[in-house]
Amino acid sequence: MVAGDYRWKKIFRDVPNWLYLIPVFAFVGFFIYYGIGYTVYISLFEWNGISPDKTFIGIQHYLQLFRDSIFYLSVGHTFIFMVITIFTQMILGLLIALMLKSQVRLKAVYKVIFFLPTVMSQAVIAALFRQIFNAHDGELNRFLEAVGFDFLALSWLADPDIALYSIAVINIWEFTGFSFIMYFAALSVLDREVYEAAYIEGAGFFKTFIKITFPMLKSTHYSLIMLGVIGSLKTFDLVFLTTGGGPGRASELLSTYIYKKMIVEYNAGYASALCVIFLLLTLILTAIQLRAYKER
Amino acid sequence: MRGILRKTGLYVSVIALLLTACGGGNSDKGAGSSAGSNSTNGSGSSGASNAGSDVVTIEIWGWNPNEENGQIYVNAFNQSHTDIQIKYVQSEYNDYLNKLKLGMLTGEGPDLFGVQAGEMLVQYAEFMEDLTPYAEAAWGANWADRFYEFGLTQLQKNGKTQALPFFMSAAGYLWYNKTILDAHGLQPPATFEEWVQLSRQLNEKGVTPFIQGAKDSWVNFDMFIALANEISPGKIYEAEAGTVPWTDPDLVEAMRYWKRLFDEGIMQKGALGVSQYPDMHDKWAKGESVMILFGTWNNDHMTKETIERLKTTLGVKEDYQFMPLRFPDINGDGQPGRLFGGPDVGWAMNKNSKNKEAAWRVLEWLESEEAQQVHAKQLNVPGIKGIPLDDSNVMFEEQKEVLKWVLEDVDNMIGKREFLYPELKTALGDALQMVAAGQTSPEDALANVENVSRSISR
Repeated sequence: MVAGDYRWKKIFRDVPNWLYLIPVFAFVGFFIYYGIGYTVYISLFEWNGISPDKTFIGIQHYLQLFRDSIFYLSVGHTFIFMVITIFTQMILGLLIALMLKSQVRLKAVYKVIFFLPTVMSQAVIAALFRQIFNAHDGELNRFLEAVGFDFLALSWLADPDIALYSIAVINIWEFTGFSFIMYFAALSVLDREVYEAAYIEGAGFFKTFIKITFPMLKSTHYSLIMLGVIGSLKTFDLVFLTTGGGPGRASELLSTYIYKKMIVEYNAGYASALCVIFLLLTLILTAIQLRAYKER
Repeated sequence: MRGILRKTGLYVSVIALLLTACGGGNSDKGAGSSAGSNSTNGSGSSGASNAGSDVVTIEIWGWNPNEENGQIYVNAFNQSHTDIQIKYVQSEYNDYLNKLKLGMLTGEGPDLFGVQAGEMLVQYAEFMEDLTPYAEAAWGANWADRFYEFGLTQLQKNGKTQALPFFMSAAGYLWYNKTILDAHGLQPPATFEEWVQLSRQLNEKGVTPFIQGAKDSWVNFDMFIALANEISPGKIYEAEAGTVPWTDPDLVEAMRYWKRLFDEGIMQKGALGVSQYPDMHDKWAKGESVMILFGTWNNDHMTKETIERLKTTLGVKEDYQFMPLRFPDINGDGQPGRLFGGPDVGWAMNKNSKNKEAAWRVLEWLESEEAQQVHAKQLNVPGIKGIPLDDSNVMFEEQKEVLKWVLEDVDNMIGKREFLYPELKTALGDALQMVAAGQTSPEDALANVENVSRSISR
């Protein structure tokens, strides 16, 4: 057999591999990259999202965007929401996982209880918490008043100073179970011999946790941070169904702002520009995380 | 051999998959009710299709009436017509907006579609057939007299009739629970100061006087328009048109009255964090509050049927007597506030419909006495004049008396309810919430609205 024959044989042998990839490329190419390209294209037009006619205005939307105080407000809210929810969920999830790793009865029941909110519908959760957090006669304030803590009976979703944090609390309640399950699984596969060695060396619980458990869970930390960033950026339903981004934009996230521009104000061009900036922010955050993950 | 078979199977599967992806696909027109129709879904067609050789199916998209009520009209029409059948596709309002947008963009829209007055009419104008020639041919030169003025004029633009009003709705009634007020020996308020006083009395008795879902901008607009029209009738519409600044002293005064609702115990604590529907409506219907701001669309709460439904769905225990109250007098002229509103739903004809004549016949039927009687039975104000509301199902005699002046109030409306400019609506919505939350003063809030108003090209 000559060298050329060998090369053709290799190519034909690789063809099935490429055929396996074509559907994925087609799907990603159309739904993701074409969608991104079209959004960038629309961001250069004045368009209501319906009319066959569009007016080309170049980068005017981007210039307007960088002068838009609500844009900065919504980005700021998104980052505050992201930081609070990700790290609180991680801390609580890890604590619960550690507790259930110890000698606790009815572990299976607790696992279900903690994980259940994660699988509930956002619409149901929003309706539930609109009532619980209802300042007038919600269950939380009624309980606080009943135990003599009237001063803590706040307008959880109606006070602009705390509405965003109230939504963060709902999100933490909903997704701490996910962090818990991830940590619980990770703790299950840690090497027991390391703990035995530490025990022999006389290390107590806290030293073991700081020097052994926490560092060995690095992969889980990074995974939860990455998923948490994506989840926070995508958060829309919960805000839309509880405060709507109010009162007075106090809980406006970038996702809800884009919705309002696109659907409520029929401003598809400007909404597309917001989407492009949103994508860039997401890419920057992802790049930072990947770099941090590689450097470890 | 096995390897060759596997590779062959793989090649065939991939080719089949790619052909499927590139194929025409199903042009199903979406979820929602469809009843009594023989429709088929033609690829690339706009709405209507011919099931058999003679029957034309006219597709109607809307959010209101709901699926159950929509069935009434569909059945009535389809049973009385052999050459045309209706297919009604209903979606919830937000879903409907998305569906309609996509349908119009892709050329897969319906023959007839529901619209609201205001910004929706402006945005979809180029997809709407001018109905004036059809109306003239059907009802004569004076056809416009058939409709309530505010119902029709809000669906007309630049001399064209873009849609016809299906039924009317007007906001500006304070609905109250007379059963609870009577139990406490109290009367509904005739003036704003009486409203404040009544609220204090009810709060002292542990009864919630008034609730509002102030998270929802639309109900805040209703309240602000009611206040503004009481202080200076019609000025808010001049501000919308740009002929009067939003910082006009009368509008600032209206904003101060809005703030008083929160500061003086009328509005419940935490109003900005709850929705009007279903949250606050359900609480009011269960008797957990005395008053709420609604409009004529709430008339059915005076019927036995609705009270029974509330007992089943919400666990209401009593036959509450719900009554509408004209908005309290603020300007001291001794007259209550007037209603404001227009067409709750209008029906427009798609310019790209392939069966406009058949679509018009459906629309003509929807505006006939036969179809409009259905509204009257449900105590909705019909889109055409001369149809009295059917009080046969009303519970209390006092409520029957009230119905007599509801139609007069609708005929005497002061103005519209829907604004034309979405960015203005957003700015005013933000202003109302920020003033209510104490984040800004009435003057500064309206100054911001004025800035937005000036940026609009009218």
